[in-house]
Amino acid sequence: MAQNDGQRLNQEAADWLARLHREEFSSAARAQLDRWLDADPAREVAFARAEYAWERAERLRAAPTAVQAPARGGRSWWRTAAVFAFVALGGVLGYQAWLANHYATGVGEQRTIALEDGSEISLNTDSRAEVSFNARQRTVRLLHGEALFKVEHDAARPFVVEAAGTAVRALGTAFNVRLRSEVVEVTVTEGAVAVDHDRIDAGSAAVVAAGAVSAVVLPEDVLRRRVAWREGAIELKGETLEQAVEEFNRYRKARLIVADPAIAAIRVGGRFETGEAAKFVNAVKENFPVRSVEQEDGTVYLFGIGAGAVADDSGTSQ
Amino acid sequence: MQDRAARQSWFKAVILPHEPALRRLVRRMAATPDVDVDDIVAEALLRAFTVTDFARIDRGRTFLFTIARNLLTDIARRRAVVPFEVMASLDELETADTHPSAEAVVSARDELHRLQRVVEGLPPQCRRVFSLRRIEELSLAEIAGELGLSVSTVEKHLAKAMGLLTRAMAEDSPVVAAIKVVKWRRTTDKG
Repeated sequence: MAQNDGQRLNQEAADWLARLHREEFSSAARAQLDRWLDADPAREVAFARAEYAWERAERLRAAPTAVQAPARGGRSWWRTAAVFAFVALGGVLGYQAWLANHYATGVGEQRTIALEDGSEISLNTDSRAEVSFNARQRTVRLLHGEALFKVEHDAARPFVVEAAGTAVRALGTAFNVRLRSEVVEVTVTEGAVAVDHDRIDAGSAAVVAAGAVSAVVLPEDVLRRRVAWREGAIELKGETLEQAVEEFNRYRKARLIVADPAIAAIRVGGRFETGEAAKFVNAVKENFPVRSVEQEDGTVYLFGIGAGAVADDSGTSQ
Repeated sequence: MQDRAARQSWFKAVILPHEPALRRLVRRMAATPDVDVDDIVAEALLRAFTVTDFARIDRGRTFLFTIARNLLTDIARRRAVVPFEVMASLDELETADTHPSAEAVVSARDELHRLQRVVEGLPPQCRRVFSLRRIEELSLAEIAGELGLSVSTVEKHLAKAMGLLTRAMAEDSPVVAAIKVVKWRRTTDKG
């Protein structure tokens, strides 16, 4: 691809993006864009670059003068004054807030991010979120994984978390959102949220699947277990071994695998640290007829005792 | 279509922030006339974008630079005669992903300056349209009313601004690039 082709594609993508801005709510325009993108992945890359540049340019809203529109009367003046105030008061901290609006955690990592409005996002393992605040709304897109939100009150700007097409609007102060493969799980610990049009109060949870919202009131211990990760813990009470293993795997690269269907439905309980799968495995072996085989790469297979010989040279049976 | 949205979000969050650094490095290494820097960067981005299991990749710099390294190795191999300096530079691409907060602050500042310079350099009407859309967040119809233009003209100005912004975002700071090119020439003179 010659340099001219690259520049042409660059401009074509920009043309499409501008068109989307003109036809803001048109699903027909979006559909036509999708067809254009379908034809060539290079177009998808070009369009992503155009969107990325546009999104990064939002930082200019907090940057001084030369970029501001010429004074158009009251509205622009107020906005400019507010922007200067923000920059002056914000200082280094304000600047830091603009640096990254994408946040991500690796496997086994947890991170708490202080947002410029005083709200807080705690990201659990292997999670990704995109923060974009403007004058009208505070939006966080949860792209992957799980996060706990502590929301500062701001009457002028609703705080909205978008996850897999579902919008969770904060009406109060603290809630957890977990993106599972098929569903979005919202747990409210303080205050309330609105999921689409349903209000979910503290002590309740909502599961959103295929656009349908089901709400349920949670017993206190279940509530506590849903947010135990925030303390670095996994709390189990009656989950199957299969489910428990899935939880621990979120925090590790080398997986635990229940290799024997006979033990998969064993119910387990207890409180463990998220990084302490080994302790969990030992606890299971102490209490149930289970043995484990660990591979060199750290993968751990769990079998029932008496499940037959394992013809395996590469691991050590315990 | 949800997969497309997820892939694009991942690409923007994890890969694209490293395009300027990649371009800078490829430019430094591929100082020979027959290699097109933009082509290499575009090909590397394309390969990164189309990876099958993108959700597992969270260290974008390492991933992107590895792809570029393989691309450049292929090119060097095809030429049969590989300059020693090029091989040494290829090893440089194997940098581990660190969390260099100081570097992040500097490059974020650079990015802001680049954005500002591009906007300041826009033709006046184009710049007005950009500001009214990006900063004041008026609709294109409102902008058209404000400036006395047709909506389609506003759209064209916006597209032009977006194209220039996209190009600027992908570049590193020109001053730094110039210094590095000089260094490269000196090395080959000595040899």
